[in-house]
Amino acid sequence: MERQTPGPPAAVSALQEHPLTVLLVDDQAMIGEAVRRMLLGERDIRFHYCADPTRAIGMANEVSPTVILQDLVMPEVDGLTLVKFFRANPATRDTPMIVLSSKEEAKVKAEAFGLGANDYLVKLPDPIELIARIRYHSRGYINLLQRNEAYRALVESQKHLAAELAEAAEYVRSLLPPPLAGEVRTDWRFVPSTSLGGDSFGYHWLDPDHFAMYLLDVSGHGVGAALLSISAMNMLRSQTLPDTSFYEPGEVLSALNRTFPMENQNNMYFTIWYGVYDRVKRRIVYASGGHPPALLVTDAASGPARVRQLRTPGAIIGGMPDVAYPSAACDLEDSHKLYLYSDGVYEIAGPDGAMWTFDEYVALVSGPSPPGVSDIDRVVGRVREVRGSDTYEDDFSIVQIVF
Amino acid sequence: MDIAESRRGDIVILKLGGRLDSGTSNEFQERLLALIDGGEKRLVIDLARIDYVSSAGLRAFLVGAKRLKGAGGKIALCSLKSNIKEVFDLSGFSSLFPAFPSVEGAVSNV
Repeated sequence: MERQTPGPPAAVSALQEHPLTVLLVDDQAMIGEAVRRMLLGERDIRFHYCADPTRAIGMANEVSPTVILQDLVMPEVDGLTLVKFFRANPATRDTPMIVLSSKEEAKVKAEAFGLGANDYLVKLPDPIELIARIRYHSRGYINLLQRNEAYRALVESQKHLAAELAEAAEYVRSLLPPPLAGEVRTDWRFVPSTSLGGDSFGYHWLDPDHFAMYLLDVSGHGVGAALLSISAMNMLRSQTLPDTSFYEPGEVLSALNRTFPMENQNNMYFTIWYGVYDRVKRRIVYASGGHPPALLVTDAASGPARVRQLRTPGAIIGGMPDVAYPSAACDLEDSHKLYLYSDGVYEIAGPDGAMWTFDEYVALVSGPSPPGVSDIDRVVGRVREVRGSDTYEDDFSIVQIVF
Repeated sequence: MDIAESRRGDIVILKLGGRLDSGTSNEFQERLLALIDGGEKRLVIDLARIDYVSSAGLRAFLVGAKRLKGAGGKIALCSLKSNIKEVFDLSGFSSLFPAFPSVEGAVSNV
């Protein structure tokens, strides 16, 4: 399917140029002419003159001045009222205004500043001073305009980025396996973080007696982390690692470690827990590459559930070449629930900023669920409660497999 | 976070304090790489005053260790609080980074 993705806004790369533009509002044509001459030698300053104060706002909207010079004493309109109008007009709300008066009057000056004027000059000012003030005020205003433009561009580009991340998260979700019902039952939740982490997971029958299950977590965030996660998951799904028995967790992890060295993956690496359930022997063989242990919860007939942490000392995948990934095995007796998860589930801080401990998380997972509430919903609900928020800094994945 | 640097002979000791997470790991990583690129070959990282290490923090250690390995150097950690040791154990980093209870232990092993 062809889709149109909007490109990033152009303003991100280049700030708009704003020429120094002066608008003089004065009913005396002589003053207009005098100022025009003063600015004649200033090639970079555009000059517009408005002799009719009733047309001043309209003209300002047309020429977008970076500074307005305005006479205070004019027929038909009171100069101070016009200052007020300029401030009420959206296009000139922040434009610097220099009011011109025929004499120094502290009271009038104070009134003009009170209404929003930025500067005050007695007519006719010295050209050097006038030009200096025009440049000074214009520069500040242009900086303000460019800052506002940069801010708008940033907001746009963040929206764009958030949309891309949401799309990538949807893609990862579409690759995750549907929950299973039957001899082996599964349930899961995948909650991508706002910046999209690199979680993914999967499970499938290798043959009628062997069930492979895995969850991996790429370091870092963003689309890049998600892509690496998907590549690794696809190799496990399609069993395309060279010279590797997918029944041997240690071999699988060693092969992944050879295939994805971090130098080739933009310095990203990942952690993974991979296990194979043998339904005839009722046994799980597993290995971890820097991943937190899977939790095997055995419901006891009475008393608290028993939890075993299925961990091995293997290092993260892609970190160092030629490290060993030992496998371990665990025999099942009765009914068991196995939990695979990413550290985003328990590496959380409560509203008071205190981090949850791993032991607290283990106690939560192995605790009883009230009638009518699934174990996963209970765990996810409690994690939300502890965080006091629905947004996550890291992806949050948890898979329950019931044997 | 804060980083205090001291020396014992040709060994550089970095004493870190605070949180080592995605907000601070770059600063630590740059400091580490600058030392290695400056020719330092024996490094001890004192984590006594570190309260939290995220996966981004771990990555900084790894990037530093790899650069140092290429240069033929050695790195050791010391004084990890129990929760920090747990992070290193869970991530398999304990098999990549020798850790010692005290600065002295680390200093005599790099």
